[in-house]
Amino acid sequence: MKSSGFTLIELMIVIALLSITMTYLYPAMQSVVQQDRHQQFALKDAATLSNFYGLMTRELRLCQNVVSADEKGVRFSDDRAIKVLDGGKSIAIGTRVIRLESGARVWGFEKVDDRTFSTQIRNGSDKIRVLWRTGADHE
Amino acid sequence: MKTRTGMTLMEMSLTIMLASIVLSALFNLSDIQRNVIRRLQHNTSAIYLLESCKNQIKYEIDHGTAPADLSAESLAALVENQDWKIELLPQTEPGKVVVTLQNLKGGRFGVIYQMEVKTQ
Repeated sequence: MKSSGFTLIELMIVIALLSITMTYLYPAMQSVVQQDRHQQFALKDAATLSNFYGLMTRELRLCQNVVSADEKGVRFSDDRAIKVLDGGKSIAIGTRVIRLESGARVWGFEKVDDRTFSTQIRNGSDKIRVLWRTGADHE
Repeated sequence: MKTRTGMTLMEMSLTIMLASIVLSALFNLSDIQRNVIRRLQHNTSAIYLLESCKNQIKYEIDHGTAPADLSAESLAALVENQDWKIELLPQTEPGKVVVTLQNLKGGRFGVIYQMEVKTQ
């Protein structure tokens, strides 16, 4: 009589081979998944921070002197303001609100002089002190 | 004569070769994607650093520093980690300051960013 299908020995060999393969592949797969999550964060950070930069430079062209800068944001002499909302999770620039997602952070508003203030920016492993300047010389 | 069933050596070799090609292409793609995202991250930091350098230079000049006396040390303090190298190039024209910026961890994908600041 001719038998069809796998024998028990063949099945056992396949399962053993799969187990050995999975033992080696599982840590590699985990690192791939972790790397993918990290890349998704990096993409979100880049989008958020590029958006933030564009809005800041456009707004600051219109602003006049810096009146005050603290953890709540920056106030200008022409009643314009940049406000920190939701405990630093969002920033209102003019009429727009930027939500800081994943790892991007903007904090530490400090007045430097009448036309200049600084903030701290975190982008991935980079922590940058950014000086911002008001007025029309943003070329 | 008994008929042989199962894969031949040639079929098995071809299957293994194809699987290897697909896997190596996947790893290559993943490596390229990682580098693209790293470059994007560097570009984003560079935008902020260049803006900050420009404003630091303008601030120092507003407060009485001559363009020839500007130093890269005050610019280097703008970024906390040591991966970024900021340099001021020698002046070729009066009133024009040239700043270069490079991420030292960029490897073969490293880029040198350059910016001119007109101080007059």
